[in-house]
Amino acid sequence: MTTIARTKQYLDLPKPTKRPFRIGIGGPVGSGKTALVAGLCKLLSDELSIIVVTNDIFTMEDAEFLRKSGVLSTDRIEAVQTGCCPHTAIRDDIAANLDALELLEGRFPQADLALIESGGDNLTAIFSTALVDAQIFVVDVSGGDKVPRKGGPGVSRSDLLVINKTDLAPLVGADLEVMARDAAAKRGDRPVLFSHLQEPGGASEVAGWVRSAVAQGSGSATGEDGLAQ
Amino acid sequence: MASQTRAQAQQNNPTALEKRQDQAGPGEWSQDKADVGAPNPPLFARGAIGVLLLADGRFPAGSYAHSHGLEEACRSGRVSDIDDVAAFARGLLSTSVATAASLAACANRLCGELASASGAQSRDPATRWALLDTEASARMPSPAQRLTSRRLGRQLWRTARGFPGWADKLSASHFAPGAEGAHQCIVAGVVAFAAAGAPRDAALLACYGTVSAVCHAGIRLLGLDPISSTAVIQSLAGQLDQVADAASAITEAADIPAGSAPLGEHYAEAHVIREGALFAS
Repeated sequence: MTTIARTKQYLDLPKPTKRPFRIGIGGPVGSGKTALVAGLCKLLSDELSIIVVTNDIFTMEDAEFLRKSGVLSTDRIEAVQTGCCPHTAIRDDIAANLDALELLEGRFPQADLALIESGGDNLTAIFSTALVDAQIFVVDVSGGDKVPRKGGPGVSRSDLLVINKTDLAPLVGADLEVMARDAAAKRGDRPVLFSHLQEPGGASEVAGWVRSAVAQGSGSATGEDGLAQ
Repeated sequence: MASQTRAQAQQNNPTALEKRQDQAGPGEWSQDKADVGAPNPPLFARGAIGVLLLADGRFPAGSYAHSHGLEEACRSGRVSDIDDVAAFARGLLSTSVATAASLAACANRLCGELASASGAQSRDPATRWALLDTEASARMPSPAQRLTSRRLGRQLWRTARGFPGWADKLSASHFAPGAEGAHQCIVAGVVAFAAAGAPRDAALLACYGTVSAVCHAGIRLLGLDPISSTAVIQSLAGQLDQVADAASAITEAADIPAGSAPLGEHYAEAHVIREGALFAS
């Protein structure tokens, strides 16, 4: 369906009676955000009605990747272009993302879970609490084990930190124990999961966290300290 | 031309922008030159903060993600440097922006009429707003442009409703967008009314918003100098004022110019199916 046809469809849509739980997925370029979205859709779409807003530079290749890898039809995906400012779209000016969410929520009024994938950015990105109920920050080990130590709002304040591509650790000389220790120092009690998302079922632990977050129906991105460390 | 060669050429030859600065006549952008040496009267009356907020590129209604066709123009190779961006912005000012500014001014004026007690009693607000919506749609030949206009209109309306201080005037305007949202230029006129702006303020905001968005898109798409790019907006001040004057002089929606350009419409349509588009328009 073309963007035009989809938006025209918006005219006759009923207003949703409930709002899905909204989870933001952020992280640097190439860390595995799209792979995580695909993995979550594959693992959870039997039990949850899922919609996805992607802020990443979106091509037919991405749509095809999500369609093939998950059980997600393309009319459950909306792409938002961010004018080369991925962080702005999820933090400073969330208007376009809210509009896309409302479009999807109108199209799927019974949706349980909305995933908002940010564009690939850097460690300073964080989702506005006005856009998401909870957020996952995805980093990977290929950039070295110093990433959690560097911190930033995503590492220190996200509700879940996913450290992906653990299979690459020996190849890049990254020490996973150092990453776990540094992440804990930045995050306190907030959870950290190590993953290898490209493996079949590689997103299952994250899916478990998402499942319980949706069930609880609440989440907070505000740390006790209120500020990034 | 290789970039190094271009840089050398620019050192020796004035850019189109510099030439325009030298040649500007009365009423052109250099009008502030005439007042050099005299004290400035205040430009902002009390209560201007609302209008300043609307002019701010950081106002959170999503305008930062729109290039108004500049991304496609850059991809086509027709826009590749700062002079091209300035020319592109001038082209918009004399076509689609002139129309949008006129619609914003008309919407703002309609708010004033309907907010007055006699206006609300004597006229059917819904019919008058529907008529203005039709006038706007009729002046946007490209379906993609109409969709972008309504998307930005929805976003601006959602944001404006988050300002408790504007609620009374928004309500007094009897404006109610349909399910698909209203056109951005019309919402902009309404919101400018809520922010204490007059029709001419609404028109100038429409002009400034688009020109500013285009020039900042040029910075991001082409890596242009941010100082020179912002100076382009200042260099167009005279034209912005002229368009705002003309737009606010229109009192009947039927008299609004139908400014458009085939290439701009083509860019809007091409952008919708562009693989890996960076901007939303």
